[in-house]
Amino acid sequence: MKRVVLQLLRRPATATAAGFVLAIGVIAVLAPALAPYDPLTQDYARTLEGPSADHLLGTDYLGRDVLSRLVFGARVAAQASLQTVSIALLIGVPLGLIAGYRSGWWDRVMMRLLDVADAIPGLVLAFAVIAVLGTGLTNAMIAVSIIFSMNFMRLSRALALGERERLYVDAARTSGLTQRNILLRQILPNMAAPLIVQSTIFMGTALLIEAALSFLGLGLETGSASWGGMLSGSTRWQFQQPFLPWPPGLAITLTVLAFNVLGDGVRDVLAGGTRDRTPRRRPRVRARRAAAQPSLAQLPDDDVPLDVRGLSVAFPGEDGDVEVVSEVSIRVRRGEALGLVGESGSGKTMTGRAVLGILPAGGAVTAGSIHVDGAQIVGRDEAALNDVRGSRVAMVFQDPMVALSPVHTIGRQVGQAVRNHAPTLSRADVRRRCVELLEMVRIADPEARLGDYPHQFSGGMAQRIVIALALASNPSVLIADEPTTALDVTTQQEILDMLTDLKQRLGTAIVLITHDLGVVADACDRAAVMYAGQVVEEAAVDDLFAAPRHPYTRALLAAMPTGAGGDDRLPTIPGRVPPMTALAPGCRFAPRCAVRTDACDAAPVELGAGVRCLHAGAAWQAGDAAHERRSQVQ
Amino acid sequence: MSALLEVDDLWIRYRSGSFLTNRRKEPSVRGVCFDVAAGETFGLVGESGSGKSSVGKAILRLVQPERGVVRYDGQDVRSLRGRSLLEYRSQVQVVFQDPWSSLNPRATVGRALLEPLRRHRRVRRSAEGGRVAELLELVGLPPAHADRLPAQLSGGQRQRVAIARALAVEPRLIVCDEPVSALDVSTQSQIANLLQDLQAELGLAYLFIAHDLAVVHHLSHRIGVMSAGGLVECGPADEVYRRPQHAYTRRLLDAEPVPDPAVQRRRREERRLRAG
Amino acid sequence: MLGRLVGLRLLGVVPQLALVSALVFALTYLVPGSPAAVLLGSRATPEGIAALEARLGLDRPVWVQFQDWVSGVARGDLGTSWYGGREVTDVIGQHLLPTVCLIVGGTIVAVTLGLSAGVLAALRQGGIVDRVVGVITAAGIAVPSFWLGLLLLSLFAVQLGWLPVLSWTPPDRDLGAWARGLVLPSLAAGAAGAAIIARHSRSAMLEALEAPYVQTLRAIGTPRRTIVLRYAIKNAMTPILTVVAFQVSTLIAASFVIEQVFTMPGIGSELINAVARKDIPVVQGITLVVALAVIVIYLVADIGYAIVNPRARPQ
Ligand SMILES: Nc1ncnc2c1ncn2[C@@H]1O[C@H](COP(=O)(O)OP(=O)(O)OP(=O)(O)O)[C@@H](O)[C@H]1O
Ligand SMILES: Nc1ncnc2c1ncn2[C@@H]1O[C@H](COP(=O)(O)OP(=O)(O)O)[C@@H](O)[C@H]1O
Ligand code: SF4
Ligand SMILES: [Mg+2]
Ligand SMILES: [Mg+2]
Repeated sequence: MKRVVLQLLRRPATATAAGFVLAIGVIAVLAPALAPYDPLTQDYARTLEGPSADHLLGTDYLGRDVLSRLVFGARVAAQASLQTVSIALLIGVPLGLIAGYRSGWWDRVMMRLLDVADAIPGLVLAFAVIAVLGTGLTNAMIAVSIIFSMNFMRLSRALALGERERLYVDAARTSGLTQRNILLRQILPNMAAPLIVQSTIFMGTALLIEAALSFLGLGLETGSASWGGMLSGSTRWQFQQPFLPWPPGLAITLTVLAFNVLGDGVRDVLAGGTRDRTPRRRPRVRARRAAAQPSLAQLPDDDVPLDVRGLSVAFPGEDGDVEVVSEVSIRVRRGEALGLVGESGSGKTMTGRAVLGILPAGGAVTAGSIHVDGAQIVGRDEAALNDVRGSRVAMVFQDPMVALSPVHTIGRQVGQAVRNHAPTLSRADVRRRCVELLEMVRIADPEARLGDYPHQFSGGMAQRIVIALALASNPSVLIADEPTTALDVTTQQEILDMLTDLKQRLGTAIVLITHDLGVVADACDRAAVMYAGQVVEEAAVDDLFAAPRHPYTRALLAAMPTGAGGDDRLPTIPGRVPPMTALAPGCRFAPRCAVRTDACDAAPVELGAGVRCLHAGAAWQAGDAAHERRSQVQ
Repeated sequence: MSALLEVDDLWIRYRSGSFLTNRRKEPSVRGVCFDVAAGETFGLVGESGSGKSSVGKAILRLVQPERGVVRYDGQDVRSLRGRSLLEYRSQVQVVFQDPWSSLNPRATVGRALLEPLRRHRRVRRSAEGGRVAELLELVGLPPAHADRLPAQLSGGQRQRVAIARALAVEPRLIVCDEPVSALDVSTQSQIANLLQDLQAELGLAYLFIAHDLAVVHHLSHRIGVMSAGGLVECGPADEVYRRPQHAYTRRLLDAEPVPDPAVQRRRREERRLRAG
Repeated sequence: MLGRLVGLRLLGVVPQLALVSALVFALTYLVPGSPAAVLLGSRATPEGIAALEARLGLDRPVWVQFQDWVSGVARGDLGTSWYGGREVTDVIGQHLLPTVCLIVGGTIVAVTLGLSAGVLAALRQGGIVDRVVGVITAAGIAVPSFWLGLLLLSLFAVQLGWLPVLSWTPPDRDLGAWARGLVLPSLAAGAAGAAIIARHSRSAMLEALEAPYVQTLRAIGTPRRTIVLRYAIKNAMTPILTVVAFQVSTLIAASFVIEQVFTMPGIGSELINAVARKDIPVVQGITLVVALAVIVIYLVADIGYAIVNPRARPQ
């Protein structure tokens, strides 16, 4: 709570708005002491005056002091907004909470009620209530409370429905917690943020409705000081005294504005507040190392379509840049699949995205080179990159269900991929090529399915289509980022078989990113193991699995349950992957390494002969549980 | 050894849509039968959507079965009310897959553990702090973590908290719905070991749900294989794993890649031959 | 397929209409005391009240009155005013045109200004355009619409003389004057809606541009222009449509207020008079017509939603 308030006050706009609202509150409380005149005293000798020393904001058509009326108006404003919103909260939130949590008939009744409320706009409902109850601020505010409570009810229902789906509610139920406890102590606190935001917005809205009703003569009794009443009263005289509407008009506008800014601030802070404040500064490129890139001439033949050397990627962090990929070098041959394997956060995805030049906002390549088909990628502008993406290198992402636009047909999206690099193709040709592509990824009845939408496909089918998109222009390199992690094993197997087949037929170089060593064993020819942003070992898969050299690789392999079964414990790796901001000074794996020596902590360990370890040999000789374990499978 | 938990001819069918467009969906679970003995781990595997979680939820009384009974200690759990239901709630606990949504984001670890303790009157007020520390220690977390919010923990640590919460009420059976699927390999083995240690120490029974046959095999005494809502195979873990009877089980086993390139090459070759 | 959707939606509208009309009918009975007593005011005597109740038909059983009212509504008869005995349908009919023109004008302003400003701001996130749009929309939401109307009036009509002070000219009299007269009222009525639509379309666009499918499109080399114009906007439309529908329905009520600023002879002044003097049949009639309009607006929005979003179509 304290943290949230502090964060709010650190935002200048929010702090100003909060100060303004607070000031209005103070003025409302101290109105009699602050106002220079009685707000109702009329002075027919001095009507419609402009600002003067006596009357700082002038006088109105009855000679009343505008400043004093403004000060007293703050009372009405505070009362109107506080009352309506708190009444609405008291009515709307419990009803919505119960409707959302319990569903069933209660929810249906509530929803029908909301249907009715939907059909009658708020102001019209206010008219109806006033027609029935008579004019006056209280009646108007009753009407507004009804409208707001309907809104709160809808909001709380939606929120409660959402929360109910979360597993912690199921867990609370299985703990035997009472419904009361679940509703009030578990769910309600999690709904607070959006409710607070909506409340501040409604406080402003209440003022606007009060003003509109006063303007129409249906609000406050004339005489008593409300901003809405002042504004509407002044409009009749604005040609005689153009200044008159400004004080109340600005008072309303600024107060509503302050409420809204406050609401926005609360929402942003509670949502993490990161989106709009990502530092726009890009990490500094380490000039010397970037300059030391191998020149194109040194690069070998076109048998190596992907050649990454010394790639580093960094994001701006709170205390300087955070390097999330450090000096990664990978080379992939035509028709070869390289597995990029490691636990989450080890930098696999960022490496892949760097190759396509689609790092998330803020991320940048700070060192190294990336050559695709012999052409440098690093430092190219967006237009030049677009020529390369899809045609020479393409990427497939983890979750196929969100990787396609849900509101466009499959045909449209595959067609887009085709046209991107063949803009002159005729419609019929594009269509023919789309069918061909879907056939290639083994979608049955491709002609008919071109008109379907992504949600009509299963996850496995959707992933095939994404692969078709990626291969539409025959790229030399395909980067597949955990393409099967979201899928069932049987579907995974089909996708991996298909990728292997395409690799052999089309000669595509594949980088297969995964955290599953089984997938590496199945579909890759070589593998690079990543830990904390670095490649720690690289080898042909047969060597890697038969004789893992890095202690981390060995530990990962050992930790896999492979059917030894029984009651024996799995070997584990103590500790966990370190955050990239808190790396060990020497070997990054040292804190978790079983064969660490003091030398390991002295200085960063370099990659030599395919492994980044001072004791690679020792580790290998120190016993071989993993190997024994594996032989049992066969 | 008589069964602690018996699932007998369980059918589950979810309703879909509003009452206007209400169409009866196909049943998600069709006539599933199995039992779990005290202190035993029963593994349930199958593809996504095959109905594993639904079975777990019926046991936990989170969904109403359309037909069939779940018996605990010989009693139909649907007939439980009041005190006996509360008693059941302390005997049967749950650990879910997703450690990000299974803890209330606004409750500290301490509060998450205290709530079930208080509800079931497991400890006196004065001993609460001690019991929370004890539980945390049991799952390998420093007692100081009691003051943390879930957002301040890693996935593996959250899963430990979820396990501690389940243990708080001293259950005899824990339904583990894919408790390690969302975790990294190295964390996965830590949690798997923890579950095994707790079983040895406290004599717990587990219903262990997962889609990963190797993990299930490693942890379970007996395995049931589900496909499209039905239990297609059921037997001792080694038996099912090494000599699968049902074609679906064989497919599942074949599809699960093992970390050995030679084996995988052989399997792919076999698949290619079979496909012709 | 759309026919099925409309059919399903119309089915849902039936109970909604029934409840709305029941509620509207009930207005008469929510008046504290007898409406007749209220109408007669200080002159009320028990005999007078009874006589008036009999004349207004308020002495019959509630159920009979409701049946009467509903069958009247079904025939397009909304009853007669308690003052002067005019037919409510006539009252509405005679004043409908200016109001409809204003609502349509306001909608055009709200949707075109709001959408384009929101999309532009999203594309230039963090830039000058984004900030200017942010400030203008924040102000646009906070200014009381009738005051904005008066400011526009005094600036463009009175001081600059670009547009007429008198806003309403029937289109059959002078088409040009009719159009010119509608400019300021439409701006005033649509401003708040435009501001809200702009804010929502900005965030919907930002969300769409951050979606995973945009990464896929980028990864196959789709130019940014194409991503924005062909893909992001269509995806952003689904959340925006809901906001637009809500804003248009709010605009109906807002137009009643704006009519007063620009002294347009629309339904608004009739409604406000009726509210002030408790002419319940007129209030009932207008409320019902508004509700009907809102229901139609949401129906259209739902159809639009289904056109944009394949998942919203009945299978
Ligand atoms: N609350 C629900 N409402 C409607 N249908 C549901 C609900 N929960 C599950 N289903 C459906 O029931 C079937 C079985 O689902 P269940 O969650 O039991 O599968 P599962 O085997 O646990 O799958 P996973 O491995 O993905 O967790 C699925 O077809 C699913 O769509
Ligand atoms: N948008 C981002 N801003 C800042 N840091 C990021 C961003 N995306 C990823 N990272 C960081 O980069 C590191 C590597 O992430 P990633 O490549 O996604 O790992 P992997 O794919 O191996 O799971 C992690 O430490 C992660 O926190
Ligand atoms: S360098 Fe030392 S600490 Fe690092 S992995 Fe090798 S043995 Fe372990
Ligand atoms: Mg990743
Ligand atoms: Mg499940």
